[in-house]
Amino acid sequence: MHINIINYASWRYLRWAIALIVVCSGIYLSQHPTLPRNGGSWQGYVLGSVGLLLIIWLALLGVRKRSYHSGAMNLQAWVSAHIYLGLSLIAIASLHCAFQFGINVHTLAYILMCAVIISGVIGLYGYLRYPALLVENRSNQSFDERLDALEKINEEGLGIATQCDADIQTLIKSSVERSAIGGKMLDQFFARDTSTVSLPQSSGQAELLCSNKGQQAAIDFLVAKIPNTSKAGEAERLQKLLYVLGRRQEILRRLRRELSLQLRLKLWLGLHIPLTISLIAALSVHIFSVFFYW
Amino acid sequence: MLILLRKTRLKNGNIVEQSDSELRLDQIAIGSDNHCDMQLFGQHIAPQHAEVDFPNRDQLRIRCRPQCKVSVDGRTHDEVELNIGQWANFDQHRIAMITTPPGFDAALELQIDHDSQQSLQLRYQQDIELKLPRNRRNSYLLAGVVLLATLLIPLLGYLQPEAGAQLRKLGAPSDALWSSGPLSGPHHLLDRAEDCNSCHLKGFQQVPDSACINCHKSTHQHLPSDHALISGDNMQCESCHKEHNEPATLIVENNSQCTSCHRDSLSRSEKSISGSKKPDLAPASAFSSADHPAFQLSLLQQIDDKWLPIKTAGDQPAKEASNLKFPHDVHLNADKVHTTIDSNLERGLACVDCHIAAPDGEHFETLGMEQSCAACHLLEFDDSQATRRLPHDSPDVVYTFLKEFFVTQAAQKKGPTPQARRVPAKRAEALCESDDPLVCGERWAAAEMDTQFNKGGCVDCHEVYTENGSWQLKPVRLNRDWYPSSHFSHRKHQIMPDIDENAENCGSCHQAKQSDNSADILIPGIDNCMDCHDDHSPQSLPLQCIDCHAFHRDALPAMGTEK
Repeated sequence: MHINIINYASWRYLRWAIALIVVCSGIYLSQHPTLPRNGGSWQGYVLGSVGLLLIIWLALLGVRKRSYHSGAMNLQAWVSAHIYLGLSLIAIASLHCAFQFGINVHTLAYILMCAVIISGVIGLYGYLRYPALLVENRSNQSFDERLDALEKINEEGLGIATQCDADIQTLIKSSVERSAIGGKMLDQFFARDTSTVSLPQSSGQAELLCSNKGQQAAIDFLVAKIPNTSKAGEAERLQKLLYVLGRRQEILRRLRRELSLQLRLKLWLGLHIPLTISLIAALSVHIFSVFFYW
Repeated sequence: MLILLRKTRLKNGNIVEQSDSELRLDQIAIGSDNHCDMQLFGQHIAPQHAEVDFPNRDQLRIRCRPQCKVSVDGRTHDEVELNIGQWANFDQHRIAMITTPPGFDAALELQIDHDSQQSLQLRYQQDIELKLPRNRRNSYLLAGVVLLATLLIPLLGYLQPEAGAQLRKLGAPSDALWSSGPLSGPHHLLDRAEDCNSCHLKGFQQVPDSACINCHKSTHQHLPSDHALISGDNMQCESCHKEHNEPATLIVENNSQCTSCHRDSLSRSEKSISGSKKPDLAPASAFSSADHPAFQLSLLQQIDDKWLPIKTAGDQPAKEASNLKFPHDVHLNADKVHTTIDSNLERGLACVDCHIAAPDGEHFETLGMEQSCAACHLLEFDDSQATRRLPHDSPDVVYTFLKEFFVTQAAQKKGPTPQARRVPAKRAEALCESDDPLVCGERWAAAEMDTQFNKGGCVDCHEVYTENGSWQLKPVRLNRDWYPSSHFSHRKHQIMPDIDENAENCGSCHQAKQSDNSADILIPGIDNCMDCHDDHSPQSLPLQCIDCHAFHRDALPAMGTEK
């Protein structure tokens, strides 16, 4: 079986997390039935302290992953424990607060904690799924290599176009120059093709800037031209250009997908980290306020 | 407007390509983005760099986006207006308005520097850079908002209450955000519930008793006075009363709160709580025969003309001394005593015919002649005048009444009619041969007093004695609370539907049917409770200390008056 952060060491940290939840549930249930279960009993304080220590330890992953020489526990084990103990935190915090919620800083800390965990689960999904998709998308060609390939095919297309009509030259040049990769966050995330092309018009008419999604507008223009060629070899050149546009389309699509997967692989941290820091802030206020208004 | 755009591509300063195109636009967007009308590439050209329009037919206006520049004659501008033939530079590219040919509204010449053509790596540099959020900045920002809203602003309100009140009016967060839960219902007093500091007097200190006593001045103490063993720390209000725990109770019903002191006899120190060396209380650690002392009855005793509740010593059989003669067994015997109180049918007496439950569900209304006895015991004394009844009053009043009655009888030449139960040989009229009605009336009254107090009548129920030759009654004092230190809800124990109707149900605890003497104690002891509430029995219904014992003892002074 492939060893990853989920099943690391025969699910060791899953077992740890389950054991921790069982122990914490026992502590929770030991609260006297005539005393309302809450975070203010000694059991509540114990569960709260366990949760606090866990949160601090979980947050320290950010420090540990930058410390390459630390050998006490390898990073894979650390991350595996981070996942399971992090998930167990939902149970521990719920038992700590005895499922009492309200509009206050204590519940804010709980909500932030849940948000951190949910963002972590999203990240875990990405770590398990996207690397394989990235490898499949790359098909043994790096992003830069593929960009070089795009440059070559662009030059090939422009070279062929110089032998064609001015319209075709303008079309190919515009198609090359106005092809889009990436862009804004949402364009990158959804691998949107926002390419445009300035389609040549008949004399007396203004140029028309239109969408060239999937290089389709340029391909349609070329296809329409093929039956109307008059020069010798023009149809053949147009066929070659069609191939160039098709090839470009594939390269551009893979480039965009690479960007999309890379972004998805890292974007969750944009939630996970700020939420973690704000959780620590809310937790500090939670502890302060509990003892301030004892 | 229709614009002629003449593109000239230069390489090493030489024209390599020239083309004309037409644009139908009022405004031309310039930048490296592929949606720009005029797409230019260069290190200093932004995706959306500038916009070009024509204020009039001979002028070109260039307006740059923020942080973007255009240079004209070596000087950079954010916005510039050019006349025909004047060149503006965007990085290595130039643009100018040229003479408008016929059929167009304007004409532009764009000179593109082919040498500034970038590699795809450079060209897409910005586009392919992953647009990730700035984690560090966002972390500080979000944490800052959390700290500001939940700590700094509420803390400002705490330190500067006036400023806090103003902020709250504006909807700013307050220290209410620090509340760990809603207050219990009774504490929802408008002026206090919103002000945390009405109870939390000092930061980092538990709510002091003084904050509670501020309002609960009339709540009674638990101890008669301060005691060496009982320090303020383990007797704080807060130890038993936990707020912000709704919907649960405000009172911690935990035996350990009580047994921490009461599991040992409270005579551990040289001086017990009351100051005597004798233990005040036997130890109690749970509710079972082994862990809880036997109940101590409190009976009324007359001491120096005062009737005081005195706890009985456990080693002597207790007797009531109410001065009332009342055989329960006779009254509950349907063969001997009947009533038609609430129906036409004759039936035996039930407990509830006399013992009316008080509204507290625990005690009973005070028994009295009028309420409890008069329906059957009519106090008639003369068979010939059945409507004539003795007043239920002191012997003096009764004697006066009788005298008045018999004087009138004598004046009318009527003697007292002997009642059936009286001995015929001692007929009353035979005792007086005088013609003076006053003499006979007094004599007959004295004879009737003697009958009532010595043979049958008042003496049936009352303890009587003579003093200076006249009959006297011992005052009747009925106990109302045999266990004043605890409470017992009769209402909660009415688990049988017809308990009010059937004396048998009361009799399951009170052995009234077997009692022929009012001195009998009919109040059950701890063994009776153990049938259902033994802590050591698995089927028992467990009791907490405070189910029976109130912490705040009504007999002690209020907390607000003495400490």
